[in-house]
Amino acid sequence: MVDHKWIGKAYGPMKYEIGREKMKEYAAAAKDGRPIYHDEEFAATTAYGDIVAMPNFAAVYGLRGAGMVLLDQEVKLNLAMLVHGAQEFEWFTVAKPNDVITETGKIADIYEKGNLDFVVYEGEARNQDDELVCRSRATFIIRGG
Amino acid sequence: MAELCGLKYEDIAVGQEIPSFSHKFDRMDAIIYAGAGGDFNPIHTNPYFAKDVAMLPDVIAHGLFNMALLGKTVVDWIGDPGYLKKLSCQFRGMVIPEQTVIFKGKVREKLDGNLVVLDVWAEKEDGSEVLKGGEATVFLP
Repeated sequence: MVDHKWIGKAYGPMKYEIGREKMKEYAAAAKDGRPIYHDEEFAATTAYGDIVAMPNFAAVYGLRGAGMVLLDQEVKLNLAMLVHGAQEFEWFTVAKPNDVITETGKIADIYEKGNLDFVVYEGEARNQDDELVCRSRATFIIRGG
Repeated sequence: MAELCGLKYEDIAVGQEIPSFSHKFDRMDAIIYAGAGGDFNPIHTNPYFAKDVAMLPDVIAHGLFNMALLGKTVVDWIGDPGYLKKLSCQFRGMVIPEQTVIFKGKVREKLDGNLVVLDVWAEKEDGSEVLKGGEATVFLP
C-alpha cells in the first residue's frame, strides 16, 4: 500500500522550452503530418501565425512531474508492478515554438481498489506570459498492493 | 486566412460517428515514439527485455502513443488542433507489433458555449479494448 501521507506532495516548478523541431518530431512520431504542425509558410496564413504543437505534445512539456513521482525515492513506488492506467489533458491555449513552459504539480490522490493501488498526479503547465496552457492528470496503477 | 475547422456546431448531431483511423503498429513506431516522447522504457523497444524480463508477448506500444493517435483522430475530424479542449482515456489492452488498432469516436452530447463532447476509444480488429472510457471535448464555431 502506498502511504496516503504523500497526497499533496508538490513537484516543480519545472521549466521546458519548446523547440520547433521537437514539436515536429513528436507530431511525426504520432503519424500526424498536418501542415499546421509542420509547415511554417502555411501556418503564417492562419490565425496562429506560426506552427503549433500537436495537443498531445503535452505528454512532453506537461507531464514531467509525473516522471518525478515515479522516481521519487521517498514515495518509493514499485515500478516493476506499475502501469499507466489513465490520462487526461485539458488545453486552454496552443503551444508554439520557443514557448517557455513552467510545470507545477502534485500527488492529487492515493487510493486502493481491491489489491490495486492508485496514485494520481495532477500538473499545470503555464507559458512565459503566465497563461495556462494545459492541465494534466495521470493515474498510475500498482498491482499487488 | 486559412480556415482550419470546417465543421459547424449547428450541423453536429448527437450519436453521430466521426471518421475512424486505423493503424497497424510496427516496432519502429515505438522506437521513434520513445525518442520523440522521451519514454525509453525497454518494454516498448527491446524485444529481449519485453519477453524475458517483463514476461510480455513482445514489445508493446506506448499508452501515450495510442492516446496521441486518438487525439489525431479527433483533430482530423475538427480540423483545428486549438479546438480540442480536453482528451482523456484509460489504457487497457496491450498492442504488439503487426496488430491493427482502430480509433473511434461518437458524439455524446452538445453543451452550451459551442462545446461538443464525444465518447472516444480504440479497439483491435477482434474488438478487444485498447483505449477505453475516453472522452473528448471540442469547441466548434
